[in-house]
Amino acid sequence: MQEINSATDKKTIFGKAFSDYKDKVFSTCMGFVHNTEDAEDLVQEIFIEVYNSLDKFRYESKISTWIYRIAVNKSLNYIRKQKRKNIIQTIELLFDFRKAEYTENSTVSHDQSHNKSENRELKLVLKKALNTLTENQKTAFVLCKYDELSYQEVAEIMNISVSSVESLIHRAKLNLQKKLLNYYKGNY
Amino acid sequence: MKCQKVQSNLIFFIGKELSQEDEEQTKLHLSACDECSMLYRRVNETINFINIERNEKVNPFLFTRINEKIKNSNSREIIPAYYRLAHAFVFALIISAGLAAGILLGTKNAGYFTGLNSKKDKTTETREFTGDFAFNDEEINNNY
Repeated sequence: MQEINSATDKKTIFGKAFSDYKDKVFSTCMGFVHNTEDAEDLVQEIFIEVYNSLDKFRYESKISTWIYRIAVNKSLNYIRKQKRKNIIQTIELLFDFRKAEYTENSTVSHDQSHNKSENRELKLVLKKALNTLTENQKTAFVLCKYDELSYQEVAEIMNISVSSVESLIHRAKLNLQKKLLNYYKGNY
Repeated sequence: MKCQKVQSNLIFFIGKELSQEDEEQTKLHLSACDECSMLYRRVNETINFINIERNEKVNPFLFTRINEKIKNSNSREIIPAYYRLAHAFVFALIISAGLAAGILLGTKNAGYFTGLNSKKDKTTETREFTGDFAFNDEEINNNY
């Protein structure tokens, strides 16, 4: 068991945790938000939370499990906020047609500029398909596919049994397949 | 193998989770069916996009940014409790002094104004009384 005795200890542990898990946490965030800037903002928030809560961490679970839990919670909260924002924006746009036209145009031009650097369609399709999954399915799928964690590790992070993780991932894959097939059949 | 079965197993075929027999049959079907082959290609591309997203690298200056934020939040928190208490106490003292001064001034002025009003009222009352109803000595002498 590791005890944090001083501010220097805390900084050392934090520095090590950051260098060990920054890429993994970033991958998790990418799996949830699919956008580099947003994922970096989330990583920042997550590690600030890790630093502030490090004194309270009792080493009853692995530090990686604890960091992943913070990452999943922050990412899910971010998605919930985004959903609320989108609903409010849609309502606002319903009452303001001029603003709607402006936003539509600006979105198109913004997306066009991004189109050169990345495969936008694949990103959008994947994002839309993943967003149709339930929070638990998405969490299990992201931890398994983006972070390449074992079912056992995912089960520890989500605090559920391994068989539940298996079932969540199986259902997530079926739902994902259904959405992707519907999309590509429509575009055929 | 029929199209429907192949399509319902595509994601597991991509993940190499099918039995050897099913995998062989799916391969055979995909080589013969254009629609399923196209769907396999598109779904495979989309699923493989996860690898592209996963391999994106985090900004190398992120640690500096996080440290800066932690420092700033700490410096904001450093204000000692006694300082905040003293601040609240001084504020409360000023408010109480203001209230007390207000009450004191109000009481004094209220007395002053009440006095003036009563004087004025009395004079008016006297004049009215004198004019309408009183019999004073001068009037009596002049009349009689």
